[in-house]
Amino acid sequence: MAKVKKYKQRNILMKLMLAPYLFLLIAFGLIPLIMAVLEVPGESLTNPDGGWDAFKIVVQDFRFPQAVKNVLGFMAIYVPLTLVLVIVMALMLDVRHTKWSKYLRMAYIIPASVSGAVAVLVWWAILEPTISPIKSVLNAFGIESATQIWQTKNLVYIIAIMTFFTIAGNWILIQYGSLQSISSEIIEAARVDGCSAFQLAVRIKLPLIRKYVIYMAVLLFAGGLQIFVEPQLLTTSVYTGIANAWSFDQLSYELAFKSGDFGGASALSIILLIPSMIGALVVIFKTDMFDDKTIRNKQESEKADL
Amino acid sequence: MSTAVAPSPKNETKVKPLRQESRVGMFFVNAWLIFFAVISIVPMLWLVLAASKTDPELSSRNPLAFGSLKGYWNAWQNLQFFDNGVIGRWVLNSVLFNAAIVIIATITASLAGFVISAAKIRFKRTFLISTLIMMLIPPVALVIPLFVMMDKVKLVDNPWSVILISSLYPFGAFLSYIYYSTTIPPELYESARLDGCSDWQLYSRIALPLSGALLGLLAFFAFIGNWANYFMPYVMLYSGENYTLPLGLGFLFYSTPAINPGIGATSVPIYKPEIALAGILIALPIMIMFLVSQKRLIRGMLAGSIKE
Amino acid sequence: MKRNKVILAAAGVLAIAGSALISVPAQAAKPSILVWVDSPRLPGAKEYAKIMKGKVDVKVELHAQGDLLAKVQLFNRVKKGWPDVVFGPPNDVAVLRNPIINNAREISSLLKPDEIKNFGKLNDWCKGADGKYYCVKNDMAQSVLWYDTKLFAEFGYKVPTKMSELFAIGADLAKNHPGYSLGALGDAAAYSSYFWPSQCPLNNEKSATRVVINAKSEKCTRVTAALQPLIDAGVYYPGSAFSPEYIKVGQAGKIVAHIGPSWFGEFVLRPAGSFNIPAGRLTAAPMPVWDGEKTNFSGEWGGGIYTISPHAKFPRAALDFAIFMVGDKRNVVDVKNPDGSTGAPTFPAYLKGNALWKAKIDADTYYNGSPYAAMAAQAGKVWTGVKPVRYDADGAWGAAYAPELAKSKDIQKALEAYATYTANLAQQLGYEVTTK
Repeated sequence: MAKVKKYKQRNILMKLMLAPYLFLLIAFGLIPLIMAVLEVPGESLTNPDGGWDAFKIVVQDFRFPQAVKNVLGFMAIYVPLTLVLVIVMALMLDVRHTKWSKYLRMAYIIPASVSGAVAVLVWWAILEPTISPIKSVLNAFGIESATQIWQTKNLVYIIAIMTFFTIAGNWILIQYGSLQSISSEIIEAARVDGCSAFQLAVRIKLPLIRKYVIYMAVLLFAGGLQIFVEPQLLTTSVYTGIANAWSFDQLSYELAFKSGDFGGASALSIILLIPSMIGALVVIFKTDMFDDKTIRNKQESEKADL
Repeated sequence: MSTAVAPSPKNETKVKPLRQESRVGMFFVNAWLIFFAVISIVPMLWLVLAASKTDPELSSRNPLAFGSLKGYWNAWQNLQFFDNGVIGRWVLNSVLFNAAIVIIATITASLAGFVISAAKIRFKRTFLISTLIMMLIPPVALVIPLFVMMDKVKLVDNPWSVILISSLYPFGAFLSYIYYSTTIPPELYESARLDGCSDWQLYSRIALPLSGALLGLLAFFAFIGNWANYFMPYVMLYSGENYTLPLGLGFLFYSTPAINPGIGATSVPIYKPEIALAGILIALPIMIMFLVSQKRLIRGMLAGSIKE
Repeated sequence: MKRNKVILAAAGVLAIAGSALISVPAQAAKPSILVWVDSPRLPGAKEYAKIMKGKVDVKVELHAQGDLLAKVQLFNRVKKGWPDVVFGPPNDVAVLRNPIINNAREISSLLKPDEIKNFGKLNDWCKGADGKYYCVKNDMAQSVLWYDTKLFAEFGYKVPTKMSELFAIGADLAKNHPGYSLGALGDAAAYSSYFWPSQCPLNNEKSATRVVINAKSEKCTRVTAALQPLIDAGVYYPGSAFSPEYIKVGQAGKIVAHIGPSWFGEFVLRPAGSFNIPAGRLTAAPMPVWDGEKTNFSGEWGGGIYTISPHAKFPRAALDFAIFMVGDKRNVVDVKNPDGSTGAPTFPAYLKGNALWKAKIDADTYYNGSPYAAMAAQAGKVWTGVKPVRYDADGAWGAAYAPELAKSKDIQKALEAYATYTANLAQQLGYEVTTK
């Protein structure tokens, strides 16, 4: 009996440690989420009688099919590009640690440090052939005039590149950090066994940071689906309006704040949440995200090789 | 490899024979890393140079030419548009709000991640999935509910609304769960429990010493995610004395032709160089936070402990 | 889990208890108004607050233009927080009058006869179908013909009074002076300079539930038919006047004429960072008339408005502020702007303020003859068929028209893209869209 009691006391402490986060999660996460769902059937100009057909109305919005096309095209470029490049970069950084690697990582997060109105200015300047600091690169691609850039069909590429640069540095940092958590014994053992740097990266390190990679893939997917900031920046620049309601989240924003249709905006957000959730859950349950044993066993077996 | 970060003495002897391995490969690795770094600094480089020029020079001169030192001074003078030091107030607000957010977010998220990975509590999956949902839900959907809630507790136009909402850090909680569950095997907790360690000791003696890299990452991302945040302060705060720097500058900049030329008329001396200078000033703290938080990101901190 | 709930409840109670300590300000005895303005209006608003000290409490907040709609919807939810008077873009009056938004009250009942007289025709934009005023227009952004007197003399051109004469100049430029330009058409400028003055039916609200949009109307096709060959010949630029590429054309002194709003001279043609046209060359002429028409109408690009909230406790005090901004010498002429200039930057839409402003621009030696006469002549001639609408008609130029023009260089196609896009927007917001 004494033991059980002690165990229970333990758990109280654990729960106390969890409580602050849980409070924030429920108060500013789950409750507003439920309220957002209840918002859907509200009356608005686009849904004058109210009701749950807000979902149907939103899907039938004339901008919706275009947003589907835009966002899927964008994700097809952005998600694989970011996933692969970030992992490659992090593994490369981990090959050798010099005093410079810190500054390299710092350089990678610089694009993320430029935001808001300043980012509007910067991206506009970079993409404007006459004043661009990468003028020669643009010219090499045959781009001499602004009218060649600011066309609807190019937005998918422009936004993919913008988003990649704003997010890549952060993920490189995380994946580099995750590589630091691999115990050096494992690395040493592999080296002694004659692993080349490349083999070490692909066969030892990559499987060990698998959870982080899955986490990143899930968030890249969801983030891609919810792309908002970059097209919104473009649309507030000199070419005002060019990416209006370009993505789902922007459409949701337009519905809420330009058409006063919060029900529709909520409905669209919930529609968006579904593929993200399914994607996330499939990936997580199909892999060993919640199962600590596999990784541990692997670590154990690596250690046994020592 | 002698410059490697904190290698154990044992490492050094073993690494040496491997050094010669594929110099060509290493060259390409380094070349690519540096190439990518160069691309990444282009925007900042342009900003730094843009702030040194005058607005006309920006379109007439080479984009990578330097204007003059006086250019920075002029831009700085023009940014002092508000005579009564309101920008200073915004800077102070930004610093205070962010300090609060970083502290609350980092502590709550790291503790949550630890508990979920270490404790035997029910609803672990439910908890992780709801954390995940929070990361996936588009923020626009939550604006009205959060605003209504904050109004009920009389926190609208009060900095605490932004601080509390921004302190919910599901990304951090999840990252910290992954971190603890990959770096600390459950056996370690088990054996510690058998040794009579309390839950608090499990945290303070086992998890905390291994948390350096994690806390650095969590704090940094909490900072970078909120320092330049426009949306939440925009929704919640509407009195000038409560604005954060990005919000105030946003209002200032978005009403100028430098960002939106269709606005046309202006009598405010805010042009591209002024915005560029503000951009540098906003980015600077992020660089500093990076250097501070990255001190702890060192391999080998845990090498010893897991073996014990 | 029970314990968890207890912990949560305790935390919640603490949070609420903490917030309850924040005091609620006591109600003021004298009138108090909350003013939202953008940065160019800020010095005038602060000046007003200073002048009214002791009589009216004026709290001034800086906001971005067009910011109000989002905020008002949040305020509507919690039934408080509305600013009393707000500066915003011209379409705001329709957006805010929308019953579900309900944040622009009629002001006719508050206005004094003298004030209505001072509106003249300049405040017609704010007049609803019921004949009442719903806003105070800050400035007119009526289009005029800006032209370079030096180039006109050099090339032997006469100031065109008919659109056909302007296009003849275009044809001559294409043939004899390649590289010279009559303007940029890749943004809302095309609307205010050509389609609107030509009475092309876009955004013509007929009632609260019906709007006419018809890009195939003869009043539109005559514009595109005349412009298309000149776009092909390079006389008109198919991008924005603000694109660095076109700014280079301006800085090279190659813009012969450019139909543009009244603020174009001061803020696009003149500034060193923009076209940088040297002193003594520029002036404005009245709009040329479309052949076969009687009146040389103008369009408008910009021209902000002040709206008064129906929730304002002191609506007349709020209105006083708006009138001060457009009609009082202390703002229109004297206020010190942060860039060193003085007075209101744009053509005041209030006869008294306008007369004061005239002296200011007449004294400016930059222009080769004051452009004021042309501006004044056009101020009352903005074609009133175009009305404020509830949807974002301005944003649609960038969303639909500009990208299509950049891609195909076909202006009729671009205009139709605009019409399709706005028709969709209009239907979504409860308008019936018709072609007549």
